[in-house]
Amino acid sequence: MIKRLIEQIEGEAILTFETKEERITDVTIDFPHFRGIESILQGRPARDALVISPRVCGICSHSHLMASVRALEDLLHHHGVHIALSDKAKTIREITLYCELIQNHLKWFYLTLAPKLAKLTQTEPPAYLAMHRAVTQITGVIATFAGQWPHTSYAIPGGIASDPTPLEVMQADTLLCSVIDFFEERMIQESLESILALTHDEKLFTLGGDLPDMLRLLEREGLDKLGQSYGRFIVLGSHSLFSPAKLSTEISHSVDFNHVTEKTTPRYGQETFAKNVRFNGEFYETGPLARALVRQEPLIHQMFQSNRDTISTRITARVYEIALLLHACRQRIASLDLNEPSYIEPECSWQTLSGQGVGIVEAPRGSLIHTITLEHGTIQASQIITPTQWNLGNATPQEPGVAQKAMLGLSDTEVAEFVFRTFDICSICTTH
Amino acid sequence: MMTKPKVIWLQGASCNGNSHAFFNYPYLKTLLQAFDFLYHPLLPSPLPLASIVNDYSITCDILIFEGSVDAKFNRAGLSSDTLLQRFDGRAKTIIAAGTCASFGGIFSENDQNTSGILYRHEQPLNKPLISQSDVINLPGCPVHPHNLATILLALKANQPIPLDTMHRPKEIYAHTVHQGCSRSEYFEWKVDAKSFGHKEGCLFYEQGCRAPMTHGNCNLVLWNEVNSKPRAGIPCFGCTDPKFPNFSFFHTPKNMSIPAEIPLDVSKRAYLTISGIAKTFSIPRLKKRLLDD
Amino acid sequence: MRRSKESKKIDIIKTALRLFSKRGFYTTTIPEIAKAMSMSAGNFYNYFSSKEKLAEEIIRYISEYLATKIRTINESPHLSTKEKIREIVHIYFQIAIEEPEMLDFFLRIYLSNREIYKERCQGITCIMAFVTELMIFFDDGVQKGDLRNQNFFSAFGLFMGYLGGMVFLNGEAILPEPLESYEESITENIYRALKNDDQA
Repeated sequence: MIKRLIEQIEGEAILTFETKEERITDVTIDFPHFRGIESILQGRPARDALVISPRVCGICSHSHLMASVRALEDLLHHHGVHIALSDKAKTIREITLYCELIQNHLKWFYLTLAPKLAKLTQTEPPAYLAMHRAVTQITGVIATFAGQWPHTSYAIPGGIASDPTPLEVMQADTLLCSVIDFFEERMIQESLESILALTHDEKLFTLGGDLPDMLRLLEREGLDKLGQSYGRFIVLGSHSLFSPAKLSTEISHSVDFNHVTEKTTPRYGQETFAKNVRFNGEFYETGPLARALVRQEPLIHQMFQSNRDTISTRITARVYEIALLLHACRQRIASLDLNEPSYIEPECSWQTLSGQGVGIVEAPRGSLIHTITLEHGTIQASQIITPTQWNLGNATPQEPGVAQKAMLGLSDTEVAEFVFRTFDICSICTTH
Repeated sequence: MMTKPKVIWLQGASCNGNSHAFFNYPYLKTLLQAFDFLYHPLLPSPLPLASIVNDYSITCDILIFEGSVDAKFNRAGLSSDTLLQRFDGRAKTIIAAGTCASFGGIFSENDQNTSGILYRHEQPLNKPLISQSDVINLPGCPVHPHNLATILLALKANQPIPLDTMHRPKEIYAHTVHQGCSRSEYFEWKVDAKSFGHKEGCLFYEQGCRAPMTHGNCNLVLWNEVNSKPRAGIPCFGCTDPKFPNFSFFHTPKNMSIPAEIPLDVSKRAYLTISGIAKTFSIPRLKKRLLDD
Repeated sequence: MRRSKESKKIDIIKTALRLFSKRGFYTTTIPEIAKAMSMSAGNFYNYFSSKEKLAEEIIRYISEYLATKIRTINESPHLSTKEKIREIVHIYFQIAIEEPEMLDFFLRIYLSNREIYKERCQGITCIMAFVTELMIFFDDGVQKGDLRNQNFFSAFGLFMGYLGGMVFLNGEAILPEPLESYEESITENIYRALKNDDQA
């Protein structure tokens, strides 16, 4: 039995490996960071969720805000309250959400992945300070619309609380352009448009930049084809770029949320606090790779065809998503009509509302689900299912979870840790 | 050349929000060059967490502690109170980064025994967790990166840092969040925001803005260099306050139209007189939308 | 020196109130007020620059006078909310009986001749001291759980409109009984109208 403490992720994880004949036969993933956000919400007024839920996680606080606001809007809708979101409010929510995904992916590549790979291969990791500047700029875009990042509560049932002016929008656009410059100069040395038009990884391997460098290093070290899991994918959130679908042998757009189940699998007599999540009884991978495959992005589709869901496909999908999101944000900023209202007050009394609502968003690591139950305006119950529960949830050696399966059969636990990191680990989200 | 102070950043029960807010500090490179960061939860660090907490020969000038102290909550196999106490005296100064570390914050809501380093909400702990190191509280959910960075630099420069009775640097927390708000003219003349989603109007009377009751400098040192919640249109939730999150959010509690809470240390009589008079004047410039003719 | 000027101003206000009450606001002239004060009209203007200014100062004086009395009630922690209502009703009626010119001016001149005050006393500016004390009273009553949390002006109108109406009826000699004999029933009515029905 080998125990590894995985740190410098969001929180920490403990991997316990069982090996036989130098192969990993079982791995348990423990997240010791339960804080009980769901019960903290109980007994509070409905809209407190917009302040409390973001505090689940510092790196994806805005995604949690969005999931909560969607849950409350869903609840109002079931209650017969008309929720009219202006295009402006919808688009600004999308821009800020996408920016949060971008900052997450940047940090993941340069802080979670690259240093570990450098250690594994005894090479120099790419410097992260240029990325740091890009992160301050992309979070500046969020703050321009949302007041601050992290931990804003600017999305409220009925729209957004802010009222950006034309000059502020221009400022956000400038910040965004600067992040695009960083991406094109450092991550993939090609224009965004050309990157998004790639159809084969052959071309990607000829380019300069920190992603192609990493892919070449992985190939040279024989690591690129590791980390294959079930090859089943799911997207549950609806956005301008993403729509719900699952993919096992082929894409199906009928995904009924009622088939999602959450349960704890205690192992070795200890409580892990990380509940696993299944759809129709099966494990699915969620996140950027799932989103790219459902969108049938040519480059990622080709890589999946050639290499399946190995770490090189998974890593490329996530960096590729940065390009996709940057491009989408610019388009959306240009399309904003600031004359539209930011907020249309729902005609309801928050003090008397009862019912249940579900809010689903595509967070950095995949589909995030908040369910809120109200009784006379007070939160009776709340349930949060995070993307990392889909990907990193613990199950049995007979039927391992997605990340568990990706690590089985490897001989080196250091390599297994790297495979684990490609899923983008958030311990604090997983347990919340 | 001055020696670089050694800094270790550890976490209790947290959301990592303070770490991520700190990562927004624009002059991070300069700051990292000024200090010897032995451990930071996000940044590549020279030593693993296990060595940092278990090797007593490792000392530091400054321990930055993020998150609330919860005996059930483990980091590197140690409960967070044990972890923290291992640095009592081993770190010259301990900075409580954020409201959780300062006063318990959100994560103390589930458990009476979860607290900040010196306080649980406004109450000093019966059994102090730290007695030998100096403690500086930097509340905020999260702590503003500029505040943390400038306190680090002041410590490095051996500058005196006057603290208030709750161990907060006065230079930062003597202000209220209201100071510097771009909506303050609307507050003065009692032009209330009628709804969310407007650049105009004050959020104090209807939307639950706590800026005049909250110690902090969010409107003086902007977030992400560009904005603040009240400027954007989001009420202040009082996240630096020892009582956070036990406030009414998005809604101002009132007694017969009179705000239940009024600006810090202002007598209700004075507030009502001034605001009653201000309300009677109709100021066309403040009544119209900023970009209207 | 300054002190005596202030007290002289108050003397003028009291004299003017008496004259206005007897002869009417418009028909009373500044020379008449000056004469009643045994001063020259020219000297009068050292105290008040115009009749309008005098009118403004009078209403501020009345507002402060009432506010001071209600403040004493507000700051009596031993009184229950209902007892405070009784005290406010009592002092209001007492003023109506002992210094009728004061409430007379308030009801007949200030409230009915808004053109005099339009420029000088926008809205409730000149009676803010009095309104503030009512606010303090209501706020305290709601905080204690005694009064229903409702719109301020709904409650203010009910309370002060009621008392003003009774003083008016009394002034017109319509009331069959002496004004103070209504204090108890009026207190009961105001309390019942404002009280919090949810209280334990």
